[in-house]
Amino acid sequence: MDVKNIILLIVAGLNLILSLLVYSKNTKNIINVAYGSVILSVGIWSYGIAMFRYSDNVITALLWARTYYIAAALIALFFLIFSIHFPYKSFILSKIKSLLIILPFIVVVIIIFIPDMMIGKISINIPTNVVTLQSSYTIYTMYFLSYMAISFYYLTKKYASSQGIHAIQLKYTLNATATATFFGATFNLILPMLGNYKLIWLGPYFTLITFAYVSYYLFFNKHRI
Amino acid sequence: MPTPRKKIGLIILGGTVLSEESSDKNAVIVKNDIKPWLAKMPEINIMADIEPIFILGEKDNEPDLNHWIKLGKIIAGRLNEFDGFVVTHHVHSLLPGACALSFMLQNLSRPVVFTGSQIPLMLSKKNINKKILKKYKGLGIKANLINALQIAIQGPSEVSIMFGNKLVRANQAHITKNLSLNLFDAPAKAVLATIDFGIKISEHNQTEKKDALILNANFDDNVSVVDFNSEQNVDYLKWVLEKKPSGIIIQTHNPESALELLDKLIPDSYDMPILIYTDIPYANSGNASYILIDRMTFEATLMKLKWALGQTKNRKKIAVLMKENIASELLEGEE
Repeated sequence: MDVKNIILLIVAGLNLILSLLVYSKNTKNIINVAYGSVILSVGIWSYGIAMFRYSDNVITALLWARTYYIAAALIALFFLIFSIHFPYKSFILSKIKSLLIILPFIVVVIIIFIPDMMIGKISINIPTNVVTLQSSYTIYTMYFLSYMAISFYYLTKKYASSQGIHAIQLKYTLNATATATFFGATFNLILPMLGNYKLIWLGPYFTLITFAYVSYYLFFNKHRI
Repeated sequence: MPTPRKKIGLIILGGTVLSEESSDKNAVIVKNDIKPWLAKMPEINIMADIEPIFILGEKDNEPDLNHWIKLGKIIAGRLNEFDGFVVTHHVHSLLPGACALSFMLQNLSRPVVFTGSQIPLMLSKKNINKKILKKYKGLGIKANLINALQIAIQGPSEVSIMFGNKLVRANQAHITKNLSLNLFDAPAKAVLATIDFGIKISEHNQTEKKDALILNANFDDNVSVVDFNSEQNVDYLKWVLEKKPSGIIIQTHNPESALELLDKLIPDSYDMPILIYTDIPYANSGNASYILIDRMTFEATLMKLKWALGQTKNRKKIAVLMKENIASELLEGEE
């Protein structure tokens, strides 16, 4: 296994540990559950990319490609839920609103699973396996970018009017996630859409920034407030 | 079926300044200010149905025992109307006020969360430089109030204080450092909830009390405090003794020497309760005439003595009450 894949697995492992820590801090609170799920999805995404790059046949490569595309879709879904509730509710999430949030995710999952709809031909050339993306990949891209944009809108709106502990919490969260989202979306969403699939290993590396920020916030910063 | 919205009583006794800029225009000074003040925090109406109850405005005097008794009676009288209560309070007298309430309201079945703002009302009017103004940044009530409301919806059914990212038991709390977000702290077991991402309520504080509420609002405010921490001011003590207060608290780091002095000064016939308060754990006073308090915060001791004097004037009974864990006020190891 090449070094890039080993780093991807380390990133996956670190995110898995961090997600368990965030869950364990408070399993009953939707904020912790949503953010823990974001980090867990990041871990699965990173692991999926490593395994895809390591796959020596089309069937397993397709399985892992579907895995990391669903994981990335889950990142956007959970991050949106998190941003609505953190650090306090932006609005009351009614059943209809919840359905409206989940529905596009279900559509995206269907697109991922229908053969040749989003994931087309897979070329095996370890460790630079490539997926030929189909036109419906645009729907996936729109889903991901719009969910992340809405999430950042809620968080920055709250940050603009917040003070005290909320300002600190929001600042850390925005710093932790904005860089990782930007580079993740660039290397794993935009460039593949433009036909460059060779740099998909790079996106997950930037989640280490999130990892560092969240770890610092959870274990060090609270004593300095 | 949709979950019914929680109803929270928001009782105002000052501590309402929202921000360091135009502080006088961002606070509740008179009752009519409540509506525009709440309108500046639309977030809180999403959380619950808030009913404000006005007792004191920002320009009024510091709340005292009479206001706290009024507060206790309001909470006791309207307990079943609300799922919880949030009390905004002038920050300097918040701790004794919250302690008084903890003794007044026993078997509380709703959370009562004290919070406030550290920004003085006239801050923006004063000719102070930007550096000092910066020290007050973020110390307004908004974040504390939002968190206090979330605690009042789901939190432990007792009197607590919410500042920064910590919810602490009121009668075990102490002030940490002025102008810091976590203005109050408490021993680990008295930290009722913490906030990292979401609010986490400590497991051991989640049990609900089931007995009926007891409102006991009898206090005797005639208590004198003599500070022997820096020096033993004998003349001042003599002057206090002549005034014949209902009770005396002597604060000292050296209980042994204070006891020796008291033995010389105070005649055996003197029957008022005298408490020796020390923050250093001290095994035994060796003298039944005085009540040694070494495992309670000073504010809890003061308010508990005033409350105990409201129940009885008998020195022995007061000594028993002071040693009894009335409202979980005794610090660990005292029970």
